[in-house]
Amino acid sequence: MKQGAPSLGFEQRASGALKNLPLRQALEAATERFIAQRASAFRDLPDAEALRKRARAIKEEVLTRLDDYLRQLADSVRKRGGVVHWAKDGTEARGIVLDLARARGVKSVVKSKSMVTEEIELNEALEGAGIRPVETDLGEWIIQLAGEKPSHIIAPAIHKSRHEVAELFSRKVGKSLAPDIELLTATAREQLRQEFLQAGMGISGVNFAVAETGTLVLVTNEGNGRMVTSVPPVHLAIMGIEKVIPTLEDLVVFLKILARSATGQKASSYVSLITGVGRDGDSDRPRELHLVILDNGRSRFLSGPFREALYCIRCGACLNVCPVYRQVGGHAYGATYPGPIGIIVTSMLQGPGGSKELAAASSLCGACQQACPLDIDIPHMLLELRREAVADRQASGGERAAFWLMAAILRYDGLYRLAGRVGRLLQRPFVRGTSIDRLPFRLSRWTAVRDFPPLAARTFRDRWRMLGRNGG
Amino acid sequence: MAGSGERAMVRTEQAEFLGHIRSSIGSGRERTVAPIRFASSEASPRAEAAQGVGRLLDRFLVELSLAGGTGHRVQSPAHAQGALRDLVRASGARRAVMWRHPLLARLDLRAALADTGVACWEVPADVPEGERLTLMATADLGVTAVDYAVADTGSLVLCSRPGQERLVSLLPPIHVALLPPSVLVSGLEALPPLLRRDLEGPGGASNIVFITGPSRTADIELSLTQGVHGPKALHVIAWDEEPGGPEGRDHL
Repeated sequence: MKQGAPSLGFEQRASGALKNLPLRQALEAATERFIAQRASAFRDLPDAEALRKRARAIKEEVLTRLDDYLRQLADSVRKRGGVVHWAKDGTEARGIVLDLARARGVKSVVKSKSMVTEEIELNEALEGAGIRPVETDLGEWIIQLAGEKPSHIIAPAIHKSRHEVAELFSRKVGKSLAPDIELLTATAREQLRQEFLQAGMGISGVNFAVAETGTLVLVTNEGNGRMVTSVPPVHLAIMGIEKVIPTLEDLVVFLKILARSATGQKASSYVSLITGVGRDGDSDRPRELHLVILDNGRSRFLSGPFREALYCIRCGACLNVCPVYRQVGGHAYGATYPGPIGIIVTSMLQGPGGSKELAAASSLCGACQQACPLDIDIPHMLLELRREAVADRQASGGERAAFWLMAAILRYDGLYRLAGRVGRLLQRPFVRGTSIDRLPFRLSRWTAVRDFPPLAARTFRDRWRMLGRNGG
Repeated sequence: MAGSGERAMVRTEQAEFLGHIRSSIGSGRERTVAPIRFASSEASPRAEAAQGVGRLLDRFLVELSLAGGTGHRVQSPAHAQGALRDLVRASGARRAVMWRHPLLARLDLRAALADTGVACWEVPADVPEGERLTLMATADLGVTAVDYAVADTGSLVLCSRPGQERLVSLLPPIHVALLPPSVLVSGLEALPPLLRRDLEGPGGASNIVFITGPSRTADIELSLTQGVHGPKALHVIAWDEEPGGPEGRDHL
């Protein structure tokens, strides 16, 4: 699948995706699998609902005192020999990374999967500075070789078949590889192992940062997170401000829900707790640890109706259950973070109006909130985004006129009855049997995909009156 | 955009950054109440051990195998040598790298490996970093002890310390961990007080890893594949009780 060009709107990208049958089959298989695995993982957890409540309470506590917890985290990291950098936006964050890399003569960096570095387009900046970024999560590496963007938060390459991967890898290693998944995985291991050993810097995201101890926590299944933070001489971690949690006890709560929500595992293969640069006697440790703490629009959401979006732990559970995502996939959103929560996060990063058309890419069915391990009220926030779009006059004149008329009809009794009578008259040429299956002009866009129920010949009011006369 | 313009930029200072966050939170929030503390309610590992190490180990081994690892339950630590010898023979490994650790020394695992013709070394502290990396990267087998093991999830917890490299459990394609019964805990909830102690002070562990099964990925067509970056196989050699009473945590 080709990357949706930014000039296209959601509608064009989505209809492109809908015509891509292999993509839709892959999406269906992946999301079904994730849903089933997640359900079975939570079945074994007797206190799931209590855990969810506690996770929410921790997040609420953190956001209420976010400046205090960030200060505590920074102090703890420094106490253990780490260096803390503050970045109010992507430009600052990129500048910090590039300065550090240039000063150390870094030629290549290895990266473990990190949505926040996608968010600030760090790879493009590194390349621009002549530094080669290498993604080391298998899915991310595939995407990087293909020159695309991730299509799912935790399974970035679900839209690629083994044949496509074999083609990409064959080009990379310069010999023809069979589309055998074991072989392809072994090839990636071999290639990336060399990259780890050569890289001058490892760049990772952060799943959780524990304020009390200054511990950066990284969750991976492949082990690339461990490689990136252990093999190169410098480890640089980038986190959004919302990743801080107070204590190690809080960490346990989040570890229990993250693995289950993301991949249906009781525990991910590897959870790394990185606390400072370590002792001189440690023979395998980076000599430097840098932590970049990034705002990039997040603080805008600290008060107001979108506050809960900062609870998100990026597990991807809401993507898998979303009837829109399941049909169109991540690329259709045209943003770093796809899916229901992605729409909210996109508006956070891009500012008001940044995701107006995306706010409509939802049926408001509520499945996302139900699946969310933090019980984030995503449907309510999507509605709020739509409301803002209308308030900002982003809606078209015709749409606003139609709703103005609707409001008037519903408000005035006489007008309501009149509208009913006019409606019954106007619909006459279009009613076939018990439905309307074809309407003219712009209304045909509705009837092209579904029937419209006609207004009843006799209104409920009439029938109620009749009922009263007969029965009374 | 990655040009010198960014380079010359003034960086945001901590006070400015945090001040902005504080004002964004707004005054509507009640900040005078004490922070909520979520204390661990879990029993201490020793109390858990009293409910029966055997049962904890049962649970651990079931979860380990669900996560794709292989458990080898032996009668006593004296049998650990034999178990290691068997699995090394079956794997065809030629070179092994091992933690410098009192438990491994006591079990005399080097002798077991020597029997099978496997070259075995510990990572010496006095060779240059690059060479140390090569020593670990070229081994077929990495042998470590375990700081804690979590029965609920089948997870091993390993703290890295001098002589106990984090990469021994990561770079070789096979990882073998020796699990004495004294380190078993029931759930993840039991870990925070233990980890806090491991992290404290200037000698605190800079790297602690929870390992649950081998390295895995499902990134190509959702097909589960082991050994993408880390070990393809994880073996745990465990025994029920220590001869001569509980060993405690003296090896720490």
